[in-house]
Amino acid sequence: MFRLLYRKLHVACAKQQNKEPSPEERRLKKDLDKNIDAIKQTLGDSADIKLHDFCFGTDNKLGALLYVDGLVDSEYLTNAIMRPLMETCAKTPTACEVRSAILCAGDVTETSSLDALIEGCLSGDTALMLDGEPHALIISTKGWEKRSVTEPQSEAVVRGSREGFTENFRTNTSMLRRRVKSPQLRMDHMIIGRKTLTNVCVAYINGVAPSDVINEVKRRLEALDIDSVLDTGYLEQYIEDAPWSIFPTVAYTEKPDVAAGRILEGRIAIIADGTPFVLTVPKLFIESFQTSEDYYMRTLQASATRLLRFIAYAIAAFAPALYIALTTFHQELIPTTLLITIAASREGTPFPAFIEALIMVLAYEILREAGVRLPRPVGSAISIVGALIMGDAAVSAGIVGAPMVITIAITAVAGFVVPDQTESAAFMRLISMLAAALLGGYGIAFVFLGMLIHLASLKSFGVPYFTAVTYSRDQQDTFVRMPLWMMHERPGDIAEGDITRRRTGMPPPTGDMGGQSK
Amino acid sequence: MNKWRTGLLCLLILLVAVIPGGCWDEHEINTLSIVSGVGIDPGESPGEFDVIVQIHKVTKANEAEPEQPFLLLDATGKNVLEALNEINLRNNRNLFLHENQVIIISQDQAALGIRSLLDMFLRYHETRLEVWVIISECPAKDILQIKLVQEPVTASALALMIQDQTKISPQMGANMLRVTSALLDASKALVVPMIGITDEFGSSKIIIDGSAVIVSDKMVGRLTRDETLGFAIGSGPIKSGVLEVTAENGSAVLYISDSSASMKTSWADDHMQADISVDATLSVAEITGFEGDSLNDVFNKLESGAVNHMVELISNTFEKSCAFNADIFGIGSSYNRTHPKSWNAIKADWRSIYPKTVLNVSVRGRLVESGKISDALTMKGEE
Repeated sequence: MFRLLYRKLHVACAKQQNKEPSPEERRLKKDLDKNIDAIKQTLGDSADIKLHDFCFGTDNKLGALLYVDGLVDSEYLTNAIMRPLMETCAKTPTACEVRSAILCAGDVTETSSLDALIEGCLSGDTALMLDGEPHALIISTKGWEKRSVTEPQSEAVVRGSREGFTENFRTNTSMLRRRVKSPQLRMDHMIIGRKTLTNVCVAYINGVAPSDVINEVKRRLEALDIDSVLDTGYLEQYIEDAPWSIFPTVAYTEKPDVAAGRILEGRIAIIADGTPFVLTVPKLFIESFQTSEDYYMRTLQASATRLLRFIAYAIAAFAPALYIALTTFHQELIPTTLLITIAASREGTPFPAFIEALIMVLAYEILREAGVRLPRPVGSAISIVGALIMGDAAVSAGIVGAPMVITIAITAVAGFVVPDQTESAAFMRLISMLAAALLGGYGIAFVFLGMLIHLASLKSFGVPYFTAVTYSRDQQDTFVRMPLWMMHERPGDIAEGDITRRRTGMPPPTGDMGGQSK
Repeated sequence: MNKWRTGLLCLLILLVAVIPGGCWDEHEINTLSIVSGVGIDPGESPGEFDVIVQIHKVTKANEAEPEQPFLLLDATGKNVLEALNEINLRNNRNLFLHENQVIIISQDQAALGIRSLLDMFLRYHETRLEVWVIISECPAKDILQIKLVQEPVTASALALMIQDQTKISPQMGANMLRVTSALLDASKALVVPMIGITDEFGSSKIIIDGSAVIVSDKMVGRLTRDETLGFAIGSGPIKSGVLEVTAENGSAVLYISDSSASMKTSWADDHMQADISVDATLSVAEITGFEGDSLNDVFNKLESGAVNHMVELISNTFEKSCAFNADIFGIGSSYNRTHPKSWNAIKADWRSIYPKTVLNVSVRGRLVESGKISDALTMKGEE
């Protein structure tokens, strides 16, 4: 009996302890000391949290500033907040008077919520609390150290903008806004991550991006109940359509011009604080083969390069499999002289072609991974070791044949031509190699067909992954890139409403320059 | 349940697609003997063949080229496949016939008949219809044993030689496809290149020397090089070639840059009448003589000389074919195409009708080019 009573009492106490404070309790009080106590209770004794109390005005009114050291611009804080307050001659100014007549800051909001105050401070704002006022002013004083805008490492270009997104959220949104000055560009803000409170922005052009896709993106993001977002990669994994597919259904970019281009096509960009990678949805398969330079270059070069990318992807995914199939099943397809050369290289090698290819592919993947992770000075050593082991020693020792090394080398290089699909190409390579080893060319055809069926069944935010191939309008920008003046409309199924992209339907008239040239 | 059903269905489809695929014939490339040529000689006992295969000797990539780049294996059997199986029993690698480039049949064997020899090559899925068929005046084994300097594997060298000949005229080479279609046409005789061995600077070389004429699968005779050229001109087309012309006051070598031939056939009372028309475009390659002649005179003389020479070549070849009773120009086939009903009436007696055939040859030769120089050094210049 006592035991039961004790247990019930214990549970009630625990409930009392864990009880979340009501919104009323989390409101700011008139008494400054109480507010400071509440803040200290919430934030603890962190060394970087600065709480500065002071007196100002002719009646020595008490006030306190709360900010996080390192997140604020100290000079701005002094000049825009402290100096005007210290120099004021007003008797006992209210929060409203301070905001409108004393502070020299542009972005000031008033709040009565303790949580909003703390959230603002943790985001780099400064909170000004006044004794006798149940409100506080949150002044934007963000000014932490940040990386400057540099050329993106993962998307180098020959022609086009050199700017890349940075880890700074506002810099990223500004870069996008600078490129698309349309008043229809919307940037809907939200905070995701219980612990990280990461700023996330959904950017799109109102009237171009389909409303159902916008709603779907927002729905998926708002439904997230996660503790942290350290990179857009976190968001990508939660919102993508086919998480188990080897093909990505969410695109990412490090370049503002690429993000702007995609937004202009009717896509939606997702920007998160702390990462230079911006997500764009919906993603189509063809998107991986399109680069920003395709639209900056002249039509013929762009089309040739695009065709080359398709060939490179086919090589990256199927070349080792083709080699295995030809050397173990279909030797009759190899011209005699080449057959003799390959036979000579395979003479005395201990492993079957498939095992040989598997060893080489794995060795290459290990070298690649090591090269990416290692510090740059050591990276070059890895390349030398890799080149020596894979290129020469393995062949000289008779472990693998030279044509296999050539095949893997060209496969490795081709894999980087379509960076978006490098991972999918690596998976396809392994699957097709296995199929080729079992069934030869029939196996490769089988895998290829399976790949096509899978790709055709994929969807990204309700848009079929193969859209560009099925709609004739988009075929102008599929295997070849037609002149810009022929592509009048935005891609089908992606854009909605204002689908007209260009009205100039031919090269602009040259005009009669004859008279002038004389 | 539905999930299980779908999974089972997928598995079933996969099994059905994979198992009857028929691609289980896996052979690593280094377990094959790559055959580059096959030779067939008559065996010691009647009704037996001696089959010789020339195999590329594959050495490791880092090793030096072997002195003998090929390997010869032979076996005797009552048919080709039996002999090949016998070779397979004595060889640790499987014979790979896909890359075979020539089938050399010795003259002695060709006289006995070639139809039964080629049956296996037509039927077996590993062999190709592009393989060249060649008749050798000596045993095929002797030919396959010769190591040439530039292309050490004899069969590959022979394939290249025949390929070069077919660039002059497609009639100069006979692949399996052509041989098969000729064997199926009872009226037409087959002309197959003939090779022999010649000694040059102390080493043996292979030479293409005329053609063998095969009627109803048996070799009946041989055409000389000139007669082979006459056959090629009369049958057409010719894409390149050389014609030696002797005219009054000099001689010349002319290039045949293009030549086409057409045939008309008709039945005249008691014999077959065939008209071959040749239209040739020629150019001068070399001129000797013609002292004091003007360029126009020389051109006229050469044109008429070339025409006469081509008529003579075709007529001589035709006479030889009549002697062999071998319709090498396909006169019977031509008549069959234009007069199928009449042909049925004479088809059975064609072998007796053919030697009495009257052939009219008309040649139109146009000399269009004189080369880089117009006059020869001994000729009279333009005034």
